[in-house]
Amino acid sequence: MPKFTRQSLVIRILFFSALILIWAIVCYLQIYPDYLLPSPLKVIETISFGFSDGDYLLALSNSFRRVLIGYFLAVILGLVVGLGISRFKYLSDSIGACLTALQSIPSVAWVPLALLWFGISEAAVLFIVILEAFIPAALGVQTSINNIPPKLIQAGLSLGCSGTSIYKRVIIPAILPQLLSSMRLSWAFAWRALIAGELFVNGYGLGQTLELGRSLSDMSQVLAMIVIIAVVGYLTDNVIFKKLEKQLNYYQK
Amino acid sequence: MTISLKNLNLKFTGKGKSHSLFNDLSLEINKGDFVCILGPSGCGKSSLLNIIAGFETGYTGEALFNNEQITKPDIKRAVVFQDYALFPWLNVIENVSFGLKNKIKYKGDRLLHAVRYLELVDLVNFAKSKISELSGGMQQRVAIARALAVQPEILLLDEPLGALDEISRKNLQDELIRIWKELRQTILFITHSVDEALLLANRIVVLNSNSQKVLDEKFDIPYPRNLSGKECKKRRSIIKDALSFTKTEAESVNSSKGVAAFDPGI
Repeated sequence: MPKFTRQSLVIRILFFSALILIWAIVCYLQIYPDYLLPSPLKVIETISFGFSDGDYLLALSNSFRRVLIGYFLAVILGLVVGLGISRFKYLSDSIGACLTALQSIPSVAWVPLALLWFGISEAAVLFIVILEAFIPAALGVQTSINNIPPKLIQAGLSLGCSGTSIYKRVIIPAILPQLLSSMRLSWAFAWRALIAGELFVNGYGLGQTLELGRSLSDMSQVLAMIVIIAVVGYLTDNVIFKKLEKQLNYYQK
Repeated sequence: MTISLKNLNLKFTGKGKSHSLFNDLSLEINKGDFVCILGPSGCGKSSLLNIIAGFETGYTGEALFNNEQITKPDIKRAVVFQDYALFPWLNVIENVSFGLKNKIKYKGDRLLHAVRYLELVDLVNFAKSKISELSGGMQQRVAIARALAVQPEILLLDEPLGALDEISRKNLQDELIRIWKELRQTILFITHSVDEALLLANRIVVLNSNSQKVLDEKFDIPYPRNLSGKECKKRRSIIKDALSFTKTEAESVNSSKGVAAFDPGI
């Protein structure tokens, strides 16, 4: 991966500023009416008003609570399923094959079923989040276990590891860096599934606020939510996961 | 410590065709031996090591370690791999003390014990280093220390110097000789280099390209050895002759000894 330098920071800032500038110019020229494409200034106004009002903060914390619970359960389920399908061939032949098929189903497709099963409730959102996020975790565990150099396991076994302690002392530490990458992917999936689920379900969250904006034809609120979702996604990925990944990278000096 | 192989065969089935290795190989390794198994690539010498290590259990015939059939890896038979197989999440001394977990109760005692073996391979100053910070030669020395630290009855080395540069290889060869002299450690060393076998071993076993044992001889001349000396030259030509031994010749030798080269499967 290329190094992140001061220069890349400058380029990043310049690029985003340019994007916003183009957006502002398009609005200024009034190519599209204001209710279709609100100006960046209007969106910033909506965001700051929403936060000072306390509404957006509540929506953000509600959404975060849901995604964290769902993500946590999804990761645990993913670990269990992943260990299972990498350990037993009949499980990988059965469940493992389904996972790849499941992965190709977008989370919105599950919404009607989730609503029928769990009602218009938080449980429906959690169901969608877990279903979406556990798959990359499970598949990640499987591939990272398959990628362990067999010699490392042989070395562990010939140095006195038993069938169970080999997991604790060799397999788990060996897959940690790769595991973290799939946790990261899992998080991105959870975050998407959350918004998709919230669009259809009651309870104050980012998705609901976005949906409210749509029904009120308030595009600045819709764009405000999109910006918040993007910023939160970017920050969690770049701050939390990147730091962890760096710490766990044994293979670099 | 004895390792005793009798009528050993190993069948491979892959890509629709099966072939078999060793052809009823028999071999004894005794305490204090420094055996080099020498042979061209593909002759099955690494498979032989895997059987003795306990990694490869699909063999037929006998493979005994202290009179017990080998069915799984054992800490008494430590292995050094060609690509080191160190644990990158542990530092140097943690790697060396890895195998001591069940032998020594306290972590401090384990580290103290490990330091002695780091001294043996001259890496005490790197005890806290990350594995990725070390050169290939140093990594292999860590792997040797890790294997020796568990005080195995036999040390199995699978082409351990194959991936190293000339200078590190020379240094490690000297080190292995020193370790063998100092600890009287039984060593089984796999190599495809005739010169390496001549420099190190006190017994040389040659497998030909059909994985048949074509030579098994003591080689007791003092260290350090001179490869261009008379003894080494003489041995080298014997080994080269043995290596070019073809299958038909081997079969005729086998049958003249009364050993069945072909098993009718009754």
